[in-house]
Amino acid sequence: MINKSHKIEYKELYSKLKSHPINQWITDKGWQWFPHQIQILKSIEKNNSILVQSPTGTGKTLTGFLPSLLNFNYQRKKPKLDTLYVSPLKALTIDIHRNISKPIKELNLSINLETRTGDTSQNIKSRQIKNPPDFLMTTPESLALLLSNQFASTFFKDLEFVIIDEIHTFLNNKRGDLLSLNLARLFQIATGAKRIGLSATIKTPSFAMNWLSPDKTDLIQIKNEVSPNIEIFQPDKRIPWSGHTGIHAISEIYKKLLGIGKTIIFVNTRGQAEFVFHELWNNNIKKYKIAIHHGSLDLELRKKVETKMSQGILDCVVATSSLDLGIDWAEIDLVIQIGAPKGLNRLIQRIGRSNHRYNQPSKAFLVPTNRFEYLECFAATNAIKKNFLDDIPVKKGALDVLAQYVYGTACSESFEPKKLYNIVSSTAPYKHLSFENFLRVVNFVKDGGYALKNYEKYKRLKILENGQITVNSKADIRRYKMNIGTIIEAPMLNIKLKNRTLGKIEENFIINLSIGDTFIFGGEVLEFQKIEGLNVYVKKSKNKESKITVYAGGRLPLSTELSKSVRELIGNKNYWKNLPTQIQDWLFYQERQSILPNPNNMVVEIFPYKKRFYTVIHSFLGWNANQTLGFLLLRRMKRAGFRPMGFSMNDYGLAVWSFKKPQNVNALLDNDIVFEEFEEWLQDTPLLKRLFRDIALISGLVEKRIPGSEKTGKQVLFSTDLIYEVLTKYDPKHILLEAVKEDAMDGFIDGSRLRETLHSMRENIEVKYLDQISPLSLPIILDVTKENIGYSIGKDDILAEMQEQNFLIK
Amino acid sequence: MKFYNIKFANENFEISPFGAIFWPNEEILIVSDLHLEKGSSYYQRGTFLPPYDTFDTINRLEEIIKQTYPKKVLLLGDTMHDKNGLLRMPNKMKEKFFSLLEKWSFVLISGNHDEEFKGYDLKLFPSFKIRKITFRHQSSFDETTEISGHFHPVINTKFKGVRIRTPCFLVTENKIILPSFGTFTGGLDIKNDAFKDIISKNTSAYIIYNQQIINLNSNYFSNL
Repeated sequence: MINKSHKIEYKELYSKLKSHPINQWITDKGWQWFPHQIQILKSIEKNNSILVQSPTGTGKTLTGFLPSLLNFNYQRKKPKLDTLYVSPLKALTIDIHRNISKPIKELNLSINLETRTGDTSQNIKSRQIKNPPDFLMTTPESLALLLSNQFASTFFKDLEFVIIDEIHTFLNNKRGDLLSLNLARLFQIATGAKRIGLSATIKTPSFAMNWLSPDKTDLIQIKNEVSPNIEIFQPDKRIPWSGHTGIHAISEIYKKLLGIGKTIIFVNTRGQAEFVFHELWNNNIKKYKIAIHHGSLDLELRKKVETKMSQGILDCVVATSSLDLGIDWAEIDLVIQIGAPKGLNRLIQRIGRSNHRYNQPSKAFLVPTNRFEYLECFAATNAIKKNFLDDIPVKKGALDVLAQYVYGTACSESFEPKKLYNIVSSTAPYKHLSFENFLRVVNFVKDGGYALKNYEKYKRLKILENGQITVNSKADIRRYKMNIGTIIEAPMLNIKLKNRTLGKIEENFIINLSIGDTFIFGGEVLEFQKIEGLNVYVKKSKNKESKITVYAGGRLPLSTELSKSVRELIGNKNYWKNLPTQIQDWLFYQERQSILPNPNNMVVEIFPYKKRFYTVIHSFLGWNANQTLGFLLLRRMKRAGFRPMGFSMNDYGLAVWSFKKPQNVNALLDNDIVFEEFEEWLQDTPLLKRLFRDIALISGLVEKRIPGSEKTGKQVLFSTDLIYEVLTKYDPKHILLEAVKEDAMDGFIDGSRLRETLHSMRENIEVKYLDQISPLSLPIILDVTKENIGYSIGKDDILAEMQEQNFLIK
Repeated sequence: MKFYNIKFANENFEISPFGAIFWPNEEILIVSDLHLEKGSSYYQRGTFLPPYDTFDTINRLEEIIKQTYPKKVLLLGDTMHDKNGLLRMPNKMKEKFFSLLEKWSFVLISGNHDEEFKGYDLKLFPSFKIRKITFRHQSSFDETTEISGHFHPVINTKFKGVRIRTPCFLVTENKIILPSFGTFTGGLDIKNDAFKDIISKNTSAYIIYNQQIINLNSNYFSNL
């Protein structure tokens, strides 16, 4: 491979800046260059890879594009792709296109700037290949598709700059894994291209730097000097022990909208968004223009809201994480967060949405919905004042994503396994991948990679005489293109009101409804009528209140750093004086009656309650890890003869109830539980089947879309369950089962976090036997009855209960 | 594994958690929808499902036969997944399957995909009557007393926060519909319109859960 040296000299770029029309444009707007925008021109001379880390409102995007704008050959003869921009969201790609187009249009610069996403028409896509734009803005999925084409090597070879926006969103997930692999291949083609990563402020920039390039990366860092102005809701009423609705604060929230200007109200789940939106409308005496925005709503409806928002027509939007990322709204004056923030990085990002101007304080109003959330909001506010940030947990590159990538590579050109392995293992996520496992993935793509060699006639990949591997047929290329993408959602159904599509809703939610049940969606109370194919038919309900208010939709886990801050707050009385009196009293009672949790201990309380023994573990591990620990403890307690019955949990703790009083708690919580019971439980749990479903789709084992026919999510779910069962029975060492186990360590099983915590806490478990329920335990136990999350011990016990009750449903 | 006794057409029947029915007075075992070689039919289209489904299905068939020692085994159709299934079946599997057919007295009823048995010396019946009970692949939905398969009924519900999706037997006054026996056969939720002619207040469903048979309360149906 020829290493073209792209000599870019700072002096030259800097002098170009002085004479470039954009300089005048900035001056005319009354702005001036930020120091980091000058700095990048200096850095690009010596470095092939640069990470720009800065808060919002600091002209980050323009910084990224500045070297391209200045270095660009405006007198070029032949069209060639000069700059590639990749962002995590389609919407963001389009938004940035609009922002960068502005100066280009106003200054009449001869730069062709285009987007290419899943929404781009086939005509434009083929035209872009023949006649490439100068700057192309795209998403990881569209980039993967481009790279799987045979023209990839000519299309990308002249690239000068590759810009990765919001790089922090790619660091530890499957989408990032795929992008990382594709970038490695891209830079094999575009050997001279410079990499520019743009990132929000993260705790360990070196993590993002290594992700961006295996070689040296320069860091340009801009710090926000101004702390945000955060206020926490002070209730005059009783603070609820549990629940997450925030109903006690609705009138206060509504008052906040008065005369403040534009507001975004962030909530944590889609169901909560619906609830809050509905309640605000019921109270909307001043006729504010309030809208709702979340990931289940129909794309068109969401776009409408976004447009109205950017035009400044709306007073307030109720949103979930669908509005977390950097789409640039007009002025937002206040951000309201209802419910616990769950993580520092997320809260900072959300708060940053108010006020996009540099060095001006953002304004935020936090509304905790129950007692623990009060602690969380206070802890988060303190941590933000001290400039704390969440760690980004490290994750191994996913094997299913690798399979997709190997398949895509074979579609574009033949490859030599060892060489491709070298490229793969040069990326940060796959640094530790063994050559053996790489080959197992290649074999999987080839013919399924089963121990039993039954399938001989047909293979997806073929080995050429020179040892190179390539795709077998055109049909296999089509198959790849139909199934690209790593974001797998729960099976979703369309909600239809007459002929109108309101949006999508989880199948698992709908399946539990009976005809006539009411629920809130898109702010309306709807009555469930029937399901047909992928459509759920509803009609408007006459009732003002719905029967079922909450549906799942995106539970956020409590971050490790914030969990630590909460324990610090509880464990140190000096911090309590700013808390509402009710909360202070609550903690004082806990101290008097039992033990206070702190960052260095794990408090376990055991007490009788309602004719059972409750074991409450104040683990602060987050919902997912607590759930896993619950399942494991049930097994272990059963084995120890304590006759456990079930458990409940929230982010902060776990309550297991049993017939017998548990003894020797330290042995129960010994961290070997994460090995012994964990392995056993993995065999049994339906959660792994859910993981396997995603893995089977991502790796290309089964297809969501077969050319010409769209399977319903339901069918995919069922058939992968069967495959999973058969594989575990007959081919337990199969590479996809390995992929399942690796996934199980993160996400909703969160085994890694559980393992680490139990290990570090093993000497510091403080057990307290009590005569009655403790103040801190109360919300954990109340969560059960309120949300009715009762888990049974296993199939045996469900069976027993089913028979007892003659399986009476509803 | 325990059988579950029911009365149907004034006869005793035993439902097995394997997904089969035994008629003790006649010593007849009834199984439906084996869909052998379903995995390899996907493979032909480039989807590499694990190649163990035929093996598993035949093994389970052998096991239920050994449990019941029937005089006759009735297969209610769709024994193969498609008409080329037998061509794809590995020789070892074929040998095992045909030796089962030889050793036990099988009655094969034709389903939607069973033309492939043509070349073999096997008789396929469109339906088969024993006393007043007709056995066929797909129910006629008339007044006949019938035992059939074809629909692959499954129940999909939630119990105490635990999702349960599992094959089931549907039993009415004059009909029994069996779940599918094949390892890779999916199912159709009994909430689907296809079942609307058979499901009434008097329908019972027997679900297979954790290797046992449970009688689903008929309240489930009045709520559908």
